[in-house]
Amino acid sequence: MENILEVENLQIFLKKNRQKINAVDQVTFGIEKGRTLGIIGESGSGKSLTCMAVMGLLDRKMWQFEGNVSLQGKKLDITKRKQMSQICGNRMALIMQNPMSAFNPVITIGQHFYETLGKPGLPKTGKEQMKKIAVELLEKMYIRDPESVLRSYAFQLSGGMLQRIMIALALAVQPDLLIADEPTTALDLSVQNEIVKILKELQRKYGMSILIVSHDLGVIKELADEVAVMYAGNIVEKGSAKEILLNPSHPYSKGLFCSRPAFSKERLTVMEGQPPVLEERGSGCGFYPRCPEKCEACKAYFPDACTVDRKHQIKCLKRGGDVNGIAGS
Amino acid sequence: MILLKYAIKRLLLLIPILFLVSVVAFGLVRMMPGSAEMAYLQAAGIPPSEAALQSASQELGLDRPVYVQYLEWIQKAVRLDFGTSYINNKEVKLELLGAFKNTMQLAGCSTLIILIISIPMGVLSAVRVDKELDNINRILAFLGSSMPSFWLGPLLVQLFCLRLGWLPVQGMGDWKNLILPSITMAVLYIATYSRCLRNSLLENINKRFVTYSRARGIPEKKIVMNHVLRTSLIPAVTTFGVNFGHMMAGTAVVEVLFSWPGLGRLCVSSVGSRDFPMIQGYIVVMALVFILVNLITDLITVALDPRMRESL
Repeated sequence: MENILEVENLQIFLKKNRQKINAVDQVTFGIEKGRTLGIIGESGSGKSLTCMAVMGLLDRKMWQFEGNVSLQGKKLDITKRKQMSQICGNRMALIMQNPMSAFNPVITIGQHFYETLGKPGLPKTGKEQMKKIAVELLEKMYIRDPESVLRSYAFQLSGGMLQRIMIALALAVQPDLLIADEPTTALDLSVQNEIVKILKELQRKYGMSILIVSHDLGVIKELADEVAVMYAGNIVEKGSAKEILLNPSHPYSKGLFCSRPAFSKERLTVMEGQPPVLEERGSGCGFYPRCPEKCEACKAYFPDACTVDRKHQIKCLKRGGDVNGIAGS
Repeated sequence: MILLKYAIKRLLLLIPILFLVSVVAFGLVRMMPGSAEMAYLQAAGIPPSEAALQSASQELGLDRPVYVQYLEWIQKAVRLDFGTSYINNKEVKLELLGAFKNTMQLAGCSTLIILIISIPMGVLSAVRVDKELDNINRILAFLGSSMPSFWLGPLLVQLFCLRLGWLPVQGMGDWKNLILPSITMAVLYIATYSRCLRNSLLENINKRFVTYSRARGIPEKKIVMNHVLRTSLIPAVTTFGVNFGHMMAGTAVVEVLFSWPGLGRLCVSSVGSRDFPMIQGYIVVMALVFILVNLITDLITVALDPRMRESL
């Protein structure tokens, strides 16, 4: 099946004191039409950065990119803001984490809608028409009294409400791809479930593809068809959701799923140590210092992705990864 | 509705504040060194003999106890009668009103210049941050804020009036007379506001709601106008409001320099001639201006920033 979004060898560098620090390294993934890719990983693993880069939202003064991003087979120049602004909020839409600060506090929710619906590139609509569309969209998100919500300001509404409004705003342009960057992080559990339910329903109704980033495994499990696990700027393992969640293969994925709290009396296993700081990433495997299965070779070499089973890929020397003929022991 | 209630509450607060101001104004004026009788006689051209001083004191009512003088003055002042000038016997109210109009003309013109120049300057500096334009602005702002008006004014006169002969040197006539004094006054504020606006724009340009607007594909120009500028103007308006009163009071130097018959010049000359009723009237008027301008600023801030409405 054709991929809606295709990311090939995306590398993101942070420019700092004339140095280039590699923040995201050789990230490759694709999303098929109507499918959902979930990216999981700890904070600072480069998940959100990847999303922002794909949307063309990273400042060129601070970041440098390599690799290809294409949408429906057409290559995107993610450094060109003008070009990207025609695609963002049109064929791609973003839902951000922490909706409380994503809305401008001095303009009304309604104005956010009118500005999105009235932007160039979309069919011209009158104010009355736009209001009708906005009300309909909000009703689809199960928001009561949408008219008064349109007149409110962001600080007068709750986080869950704002997240739903954000989804409505994304939906307003009927995107092919919805990028959800930790959409449930700042919300309480019951609201989280509601958001997940809405996203699922929308995907079924409109057939759009979703890229969802989260460190909440429950959310990923509910939504994702495919899963990619990121660690220290790399996708260390990816494959179908079933396979990865039930049968994780990379030592990091294993550790990640073990440190997930469950309603049992057993003691929670916690991964030792912290992910490496950006500046201290070496040429070897980023997980080396914390890995329970490490070997000497892991310190110096980081293998390319190797296929375990059909779509299941993994970057690990101990799991058959191979660099320049140096095989794991 | 809430706004109206708030405005009324603030206006009611005016009464005690003005009362306090009147006491302080009256007290300060009486504590001034130098004698009002002497100045009065000098102005009238009478040689200051002992007898003349005494009769002047009686005539002006300065021989009575201070509190009696105050009560008499405040009784009239409540009815907006501030008495007559010691020097030229003109009604203080009319004199102040005339001067106030002139000063407002000057301050208004300078405000217009400030707005027209500092907003685009601030925006351009923020858009081209740390590039040539921003650096030029930085230098100009530095020069502008460090040049006192009593020096800048003569420099401008030297260039535009004496060398080029484009503008009149002094006095009040048509719009040409207004240009130099308003520019002299505006320079300092342009420097301050353009930098203030630039900084608050830069602070807001990295806010998450800007990123979100970009993600929604809103054109960059619209983002700057509707999101960044709008939010950034709020602190600028607040500072402007606070400073407007200062500007009104600070016109003295410029007015004397350009012989502009405004409040500042009136105050300076009244102090020189110990014209008590005039000085008292001036202080009360200035206090009133300060308070009203602050109130208007607050109302504008509330209108611009819906978050403030919650706190009313």
